[in-house]
Amino acid sequence: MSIDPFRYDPVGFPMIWIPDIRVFVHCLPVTKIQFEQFLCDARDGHFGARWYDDILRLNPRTTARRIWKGNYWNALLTGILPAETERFAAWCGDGYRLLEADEWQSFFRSMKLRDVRSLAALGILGELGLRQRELIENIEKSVEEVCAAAGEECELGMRMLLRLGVMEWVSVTGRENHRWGGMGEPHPSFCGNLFIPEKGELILPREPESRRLPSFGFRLAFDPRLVEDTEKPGTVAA
Amino acid sequence: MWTWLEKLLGRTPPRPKGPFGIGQLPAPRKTTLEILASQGHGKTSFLWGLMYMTRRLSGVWPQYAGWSQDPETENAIQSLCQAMINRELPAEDASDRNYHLLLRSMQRWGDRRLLVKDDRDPVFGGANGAAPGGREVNWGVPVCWLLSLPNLGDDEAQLIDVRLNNLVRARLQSGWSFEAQPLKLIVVLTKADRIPNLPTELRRYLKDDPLAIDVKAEAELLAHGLRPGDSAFRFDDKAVRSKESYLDRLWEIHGQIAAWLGSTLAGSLLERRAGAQHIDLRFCLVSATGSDLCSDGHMEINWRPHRVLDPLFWALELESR
Repeated sequence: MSIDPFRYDPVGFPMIWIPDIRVFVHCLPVTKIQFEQFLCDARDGHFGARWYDDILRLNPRTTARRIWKGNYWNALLTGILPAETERFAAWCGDGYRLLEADEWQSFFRSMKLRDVRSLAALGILGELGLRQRELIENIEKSVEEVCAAAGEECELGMRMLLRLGVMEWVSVTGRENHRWGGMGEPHPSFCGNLFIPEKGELILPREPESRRLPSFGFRLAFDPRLVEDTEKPGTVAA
Repeated sequence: MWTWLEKLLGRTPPRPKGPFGIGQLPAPRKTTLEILASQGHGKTSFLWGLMYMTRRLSGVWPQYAGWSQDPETENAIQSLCQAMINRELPAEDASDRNYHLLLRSMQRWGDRRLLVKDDRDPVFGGANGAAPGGREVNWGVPVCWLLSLPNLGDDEAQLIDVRLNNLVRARLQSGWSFEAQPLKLIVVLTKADRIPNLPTELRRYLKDDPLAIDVKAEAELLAHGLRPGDSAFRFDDKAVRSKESYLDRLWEIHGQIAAWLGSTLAGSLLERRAGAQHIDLRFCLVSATGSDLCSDGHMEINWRPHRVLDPLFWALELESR
């Protein structure tokens, strides 16, 4: 079994340590059940029932038990705006933020190099709550089936939905007029595309600040350098 | 007049140098591409992508040049290129348009005049069950049949052989014999970026379109202030220059699509039906927009046509035989 250091976010979802960029990263894009915990706490009126109804119209909800290869992206939170992901990150605590575009690319490369064949082998599932575990295992099983149907090997990056997942918001620097971009490769049934994440392809939507895109979700990084007296990798539990 | 002058001045008329005189230039062969598609199967988007790429091809194909042959085509191409830059999508009820182009110096195929029509489909009909358009199909030229599997859904996809029947019947009704004048049919799988169970190799082929990659690279370099002709442009034109290798790949992909479709009941019936009618069948796949990231009639990102020239290459190849 791998001894990769990991930690859990405030809702009990695993984050894996990526040495190249020295941050923890969510193993999967943020799911609806993660975000719903935040919605329960959000009190400023922006994230109300109507807001969530609009989001669900773009990408309906499904329960962990009903996840299969034809709908697993329904379990992920998409349609969110970049500024709203920052609100979620702030709620998660100090040190949480979106990945930058080149960090996302390093994360992708790092997962590609790992000779690990399942999320369980990473050692991240052992201490998960039942709900989280069922959700993650069912998503992984669905992706395995998708890969088998296409005759493709199911690499770790796919199991973590870096491919066959959703577009993921990343922050962009050094590009005039562009602060946010998307990286990843959604499942073709969710959003047709020919994106090539392995080549670091950055997608720049025309109005990222205001237009909700059904296939755009996110995952967070936890940067220990932004937090004083932070715990060492692998020692933090939910 | 020259006969009279010859007698008067004792001079012979001037003979042009080179193999051809002005009046003797061989007219480029005419390639009419019949494009048939049910409503919503991506005909106008495909044609936008095709017109766009026939122009952009000059950037990567030495000697090649393509330009419009009449003001109507010129205006139409200008308008569609502007719409693509503005990330617009074609309206559902696109108006009738003819595209008439001259494609020069295509090495293997030489010079061709290309005529393509974007109109209410003469076999499958128009929007909201509108009857087929009234014009006569030219069944003697290669026919591109655009088929969007994502639009058909699981149930209808099981009946693609039945759709071929519509086409066969329409040709028979026009008095064309399948035995004496075999139909050259290119089945173009459109919106291929949205086909969920597309085999990995085919998806890779679609993504790795050297022409699309070059156009994208050029756009990005221009955005950084470089001008065409700058040494920073490093187009990989090998795939285009060496037509043999591009065609070999077209053949391989044709075979792989045939095998993939043939693994389903509908696909195998389609092939058998085509065989029974002596149809010369070719398969290819395209994505005119490159993604489905769109809303309110607009693309959220730039148009990225992928492999949209393949049907044209097939048509030129089939016509040359």
